[in-house]
Amino acid sequence: MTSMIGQRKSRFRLNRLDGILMVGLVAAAGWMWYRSAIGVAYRWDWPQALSTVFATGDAGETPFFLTGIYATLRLSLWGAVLASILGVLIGVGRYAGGRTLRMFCGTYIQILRNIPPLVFIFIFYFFISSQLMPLLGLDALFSRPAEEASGWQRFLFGPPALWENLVSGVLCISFISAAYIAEVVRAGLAAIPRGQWEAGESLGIPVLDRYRFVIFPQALARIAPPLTGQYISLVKDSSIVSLISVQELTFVGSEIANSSGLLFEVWLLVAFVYFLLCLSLSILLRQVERRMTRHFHQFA
Amino acid sequence: MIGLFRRPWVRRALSNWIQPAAIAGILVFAVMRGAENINYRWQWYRVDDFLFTSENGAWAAGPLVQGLFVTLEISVLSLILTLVIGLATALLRLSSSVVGRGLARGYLELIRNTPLLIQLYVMYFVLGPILGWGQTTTAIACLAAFQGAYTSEIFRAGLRTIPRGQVEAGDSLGLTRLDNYRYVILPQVLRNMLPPLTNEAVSLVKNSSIVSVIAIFDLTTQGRNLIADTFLTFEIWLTVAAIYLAVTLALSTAAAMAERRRAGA
Amino acid sequence: MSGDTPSIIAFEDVSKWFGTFQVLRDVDLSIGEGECVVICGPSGSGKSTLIRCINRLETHDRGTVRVHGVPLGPGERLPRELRGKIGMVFQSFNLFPHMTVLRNLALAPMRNLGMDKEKAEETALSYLERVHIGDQAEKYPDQLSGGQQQRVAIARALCMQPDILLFDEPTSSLDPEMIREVLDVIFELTDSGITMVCVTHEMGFARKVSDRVVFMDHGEIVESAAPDTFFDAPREERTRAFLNQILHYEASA
Ligand SMILES: Nc1ncnc2c1ncn2[C@@H]1O[C@H](COP(=O)(O)OP(=O)(O)OP(=O)(O)O)[C@@H](O)[C@H]1O
Ligand SMILES: [Mg+2]
Repeated sequence: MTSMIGQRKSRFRLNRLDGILMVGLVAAAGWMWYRSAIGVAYRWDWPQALSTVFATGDAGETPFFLTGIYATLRLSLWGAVLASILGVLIGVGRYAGGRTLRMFCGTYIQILRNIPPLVFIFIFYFFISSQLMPLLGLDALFSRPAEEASGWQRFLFGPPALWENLVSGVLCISFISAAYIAEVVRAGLAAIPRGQWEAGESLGIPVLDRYRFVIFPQALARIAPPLTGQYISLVKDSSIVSLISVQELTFVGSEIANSSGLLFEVWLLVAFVYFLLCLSLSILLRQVERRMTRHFHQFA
Repeated sequence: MIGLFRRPWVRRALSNWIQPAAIAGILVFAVMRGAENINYRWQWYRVDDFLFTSENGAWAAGPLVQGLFVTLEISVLSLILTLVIGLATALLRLSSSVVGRGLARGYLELIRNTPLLIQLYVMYFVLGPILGWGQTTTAIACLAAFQGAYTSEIFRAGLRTIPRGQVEAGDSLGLTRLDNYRYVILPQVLRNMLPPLTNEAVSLVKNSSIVSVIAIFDLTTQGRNLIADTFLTFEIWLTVAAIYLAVTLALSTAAAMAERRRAGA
Repeated sequence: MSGDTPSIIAFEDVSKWFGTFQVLRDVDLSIGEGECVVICGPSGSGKSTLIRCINRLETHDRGTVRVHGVPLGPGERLPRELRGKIGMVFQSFNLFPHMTVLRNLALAPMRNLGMDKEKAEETALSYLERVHIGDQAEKYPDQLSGGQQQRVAIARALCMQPDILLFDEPTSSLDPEMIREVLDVIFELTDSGITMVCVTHEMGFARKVSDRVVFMDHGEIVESAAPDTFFDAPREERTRAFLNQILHYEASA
């Protein structure tokens, strides 16, 4: 396997393409500046934008924008936890279940991965709010007086007034993400050679131990890289629950943008925050992944 | 008759289509029963009007079908743009140009680390006004910019796996560089990439529903508007989901078949 | 055949199908305790399937397989008391790649026999020495040569102190210079009292080590005889043809 293009030069040397691209970039930047400053006459006001965004409330509450960031973090964390649990269950069910179970898990994966997340969220939100909440008795839980929530509960789950809001968001994104994780898990399990199962069986290692000591550790090494990608997707996908009024970063951003009129600055800022979040998460997860799979030289 | 069910394509159709459809049907039924418990009145009979209307014996597309056409139109246009962006990015990444590689890298990181919805908002509220783009242009550009980042990986993989022997064989036969690309290299690259590219099309159709937030009258928007008018929430959402599912599953099946054919060849 | 010793494995009219394809045809075979039986035959003749029916990695569809006197009917898996008592050595080793050699050996005694870690590792080390690689205990499988890996696999099976050891072409994926070391280790096991069933194409080994050679073709047992008789005076035409082919090949190779 050799590439026909791309014999990389190791020395730093600019060629003709570099020149063309640089001229193009400068031209594009110039054009953008011209359009924004003269064409649409937008008056950038970063100081104003930053002070609006980070302004504390009258009674010294956390700035609205920051509550949005925290909410996105909580949403992502609990979403990832629930999605992982569901995803592993569905993935194992798809791989090792009986005929019926396999079929149900397969259908779940197939449908959730093939309809737009937005459509799923709208359907599911209506379903949750009209059915699931009353059914699980969650509405009773959430209508408790707010004073009962302890400090750590507030830290983990945010202000009690928004718990129901948070649960809707978590359920929505974890149900979607679970389908993708399940597929990753199934593929990881399917990639383990049959001989590994047979060796475990012929040695008389009990079934659950076979999973625990022989199969899962190996599957994990294969699953880890795509799983990392799924967690980052989950953080990104969490932005669409703003459309069912879950008060996370995107929702908060759009409130602030609309009320302040500083559309350009606020949206760029929101994008920047997501960028930082996802980038640091991917760096962090890559470290974890590397540490976890240190012993798997043969798969590296 | 029994033999029919042994045929590979029948079994494939069964597992790809009929089975999920049957189970989805069961789930919908469960939801319906559940909804009846909260006094939801089902009015499925009203849904066909939203698909097709007939006036004086002439059939016309209802709002949902119109929406589907808009969805397909946007998907097709952004698919074309996606291919251009994806190929350009892949070539830049494989090029010897420092600026080009940096540019491609930056673009990829930017797209991969921000949500599609935020990209859409930034394009719609910031870039669109600056460049004087309308909604449709913004939507297409946004979807293509997003998908292009992922498609470029496919192109990159495709371009990297051309065996040098093929290039040399073409050269040694005295083909011009252009003819070599046109008749020897590209056909091979394209054949390898067709299945994954079909999956990109599936992604595009799926992701296109997000442009409903900037008031484009696609399938999702039409659904939302109809619900606002009629309050037939479940009926309409389930119909919309079924339409999306039909389109994406049809494309996935095509991709799987192309893949199998390539593997078999 | 082996009327003097009680049989530990017995196939009684065993048949098996993969779909419509019959892999085993009315197999009758009885193997005595402590016996060493070599099974040979052309590719696809059902040798692997036959021995995998003993430890129930495959189940049969008709007839009875008796292991330790326990009758196993069609579709029946291995009963609990026999699990781990029938060791198996695979063509592709199937070591657990994410564990050190020592842990590969200690895992089953710990999880199946409930041995504590120290005892299990002590046992493991003693078996590693027995296959002459006591010094490789802390390595990972992919750091070993093929021959060493297969010897680890043999030691791993021995750790469960099995009564029966099954070998499915244990040297087929080895480089020629490593075949010898593995065969030597297997040879050293013959006076351990363990019943051994070995699928192999190593005819020299079969002659030297086995008590009996069984020839299979198309899912049937064609001939079963002591090695001397089998190689020097085969009764069946098919056996002769097979031997001719193999010996001819070995001579020309
Ligand atoms: N899981 C299976 N499904 C369908 N057919 C199978 C399966 N396993 C084996 N077979 C078929 O059964 C026949 C016998 O297989 P088996 O592995 O027992 O042969 P073998 O004698 O061990 O051959 P080899 O020397 O190649 O290992 C072969 O034709 C094989 O294709
Ligand atoms: Mg075999």
